[in-house]
Amino acid sequence: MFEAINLDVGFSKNILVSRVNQTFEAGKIYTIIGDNGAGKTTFIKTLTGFVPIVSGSVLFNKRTIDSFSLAEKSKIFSILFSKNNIDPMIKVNEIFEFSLGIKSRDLEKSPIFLEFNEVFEISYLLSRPFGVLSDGQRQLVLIARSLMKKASVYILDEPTIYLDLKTKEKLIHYLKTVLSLKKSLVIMISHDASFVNATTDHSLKIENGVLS
Amino acid sequence: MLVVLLTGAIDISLGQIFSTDLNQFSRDVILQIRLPRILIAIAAGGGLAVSGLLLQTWFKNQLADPFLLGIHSGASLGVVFYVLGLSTFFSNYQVLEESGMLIFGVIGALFSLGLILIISARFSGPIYIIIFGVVLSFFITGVINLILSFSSSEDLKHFFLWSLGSFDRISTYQSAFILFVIICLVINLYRYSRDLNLCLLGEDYAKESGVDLRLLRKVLIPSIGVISGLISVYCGPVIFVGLMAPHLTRMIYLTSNHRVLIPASFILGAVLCLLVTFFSNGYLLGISVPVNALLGLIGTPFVLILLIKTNSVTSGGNHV
Repeated sequence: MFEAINLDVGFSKNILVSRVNQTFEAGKIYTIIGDNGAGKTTFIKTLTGFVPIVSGSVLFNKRTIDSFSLAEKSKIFSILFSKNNIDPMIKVNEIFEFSLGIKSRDLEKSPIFLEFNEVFEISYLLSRPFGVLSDGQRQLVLIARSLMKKASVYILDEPTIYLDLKTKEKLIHYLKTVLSLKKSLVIMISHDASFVNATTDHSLKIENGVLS
Repeated sequence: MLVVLLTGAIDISLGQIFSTDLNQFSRDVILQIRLPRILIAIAAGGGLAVSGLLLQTWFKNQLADPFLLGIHSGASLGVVFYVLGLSTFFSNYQVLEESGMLIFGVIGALFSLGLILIISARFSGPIYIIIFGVVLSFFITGVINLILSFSSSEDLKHFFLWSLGSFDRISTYQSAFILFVIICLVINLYRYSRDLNLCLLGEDYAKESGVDLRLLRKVLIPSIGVISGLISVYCGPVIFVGLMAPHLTRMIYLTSNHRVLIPASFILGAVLCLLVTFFSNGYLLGISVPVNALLGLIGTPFVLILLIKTNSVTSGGNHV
């Protein structure tokens, strides 16, 4: 469903990963590993059309990624970014309201939230401003946002960062059960070996500018 | 509660005039002085509040405000430049002279906004934008003072009175026009509430949710420039309203949702300015006080409280 053909990733003067030919299949979990600065984040940003392609092409359902509008892409992809610049005053339930279009007062009754909350128990965070949360709680909220969003492709950049062991176990459980039932494609970046081993169907390594 | 105060303030003053028999003089007072004053206070209060709100959202900066960012200074430079440089060509045509002032005021405001956009793209910390805005204001004040030192004492007096900020130097027709333009722009901006909400999640998440940030900027920045430019030209500097009204609205409604914040800060800003007008014109205090003196007195403690509150939420002051 999702493939990279002869893809060069990076910036015109500085190509980070070259000649990538890779098909991603629905219902599978892929993890990209590699050293810091190897171009993992740039690679997934290129796949999703956030960073322009240097050369080659990316196809989603046989259509090039550039031909999708921003609105169409927002329905295909759900992305967890490794960095965020979220307004600290915004409340957690508003993050869900703005992103998922579920009104704050209906959130706790919505099936999507209930399904997530059953595993992760985040309802106690809903009325708090994002800025007062701990790093781990913030990460969990952003994971929730990404996994609750309806999409065909889930991209998770460093999902386990700041998470405690218990929450990490829950995430592994959620990815293996709920998300794989939905037949969605998951592409992750992670440095966490035990997490990668527990979740991943195919791990791809970026080394010396080559994906293998 | 504030809305009640508003109707109270205005009703009393109108009521007093209605109680005396409505001769030509009182009619003139109402139509020529009171009505434009009310209309422009609503336009300026509402317009500045919405401009402040949107600047805070766009720059992700709790302290953004048309005055602090130097947008007002830009507008005043435009006006001074026009009045002292070009208006002599048009002085025989009242309408041309006025529209020229408006156009130059708005161009000046957009000039400042443009500079701030460039700066904000280069520097990541939100505090830089404020410092730059303040520095820009000083620079522009310097340029204006330089121009003024070559001008007549009559011009100087005009400029000085203008720089105090006032809702009193405007005709009924002008005030109605400005209010109409500002309301139209605000209604148009309201249509972008969803995109503005997503902007609060930061650039990456806004794009991921399908927000066309370039398009949004093309709508947002000119609208803010026109709104705050118009207000600057007619009212002079009106300080702190763009900062206070949106924050008070957030505190009252406990939300960051622009569908609520845009209309509510417009109303709150308008109420704030009506109250200030009411007090500044001496109904209560017995003497006339400049609008900005009152706004400064309320605004300064407010900003201090805001800084303390923001600092506690962002824990460690990462965000201002």
